[in-house]
Amino acid sequence: MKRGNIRPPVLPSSSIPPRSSGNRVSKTKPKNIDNLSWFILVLCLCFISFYAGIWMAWSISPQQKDCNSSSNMNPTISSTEPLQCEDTCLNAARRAGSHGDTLSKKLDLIFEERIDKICPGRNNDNSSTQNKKGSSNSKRFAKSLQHWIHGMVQINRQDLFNKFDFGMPSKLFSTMCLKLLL
Amino acid sequence: MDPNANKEDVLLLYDSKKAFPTSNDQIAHNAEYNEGDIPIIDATTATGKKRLR
Repeated sequence: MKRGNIRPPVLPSSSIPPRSSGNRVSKTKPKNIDNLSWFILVLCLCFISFYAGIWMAWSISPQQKDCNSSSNMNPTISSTEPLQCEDTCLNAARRAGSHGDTLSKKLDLIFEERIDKICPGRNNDNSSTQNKKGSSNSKRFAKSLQHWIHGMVQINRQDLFNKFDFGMPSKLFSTMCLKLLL
Repeated sequence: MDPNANKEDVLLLYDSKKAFPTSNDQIAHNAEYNEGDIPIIDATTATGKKRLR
């Protein structure tokens, strides 16, 4: 007996006939399509996420405003909003002419309104102090002179000399153009 | 320059508020405050005293 002719026992699974080649092709082809679709899907996701990030950054970043538009002159802008167009406004205000004056007046109005909102009773205090100041400023003599002079009137010289005797002839002063300090 | 003023008018200065003419409050106010021309008044009103002679 030849040992080489002895075949090992065949497993029962080996008795199953091999699958047809058509089945193998049908299994490998979908695998290739899946890989390609995954690759396309990942590529699309990368593309979408890239542009979504750009859009998010664009929406978060402060937008540049048109400094020449009249909406910037709106006094109802919230105080928390950062000051936009600062350079444009400053350059316009520095310019000589009516534009600079108009801009400065508008800015004054805006700041007045804002200050009035913050301090409602400020105008009353200011008006009272202005009245006081006005009355003190409109005095004929400065404060440094008020320790010896408070007021002044004008009297006709002849009338004064007719009513009061100062001890000297009044005609002498009129003829000699002398000054009399009493 | 006040057109009603004369060349030889006298300026009367008050060293105290008590010396202001009391007959007319408006004159006293105008004498103290610079809200117009210097008031031109007669000597009697300015001093608030009677004529000596």
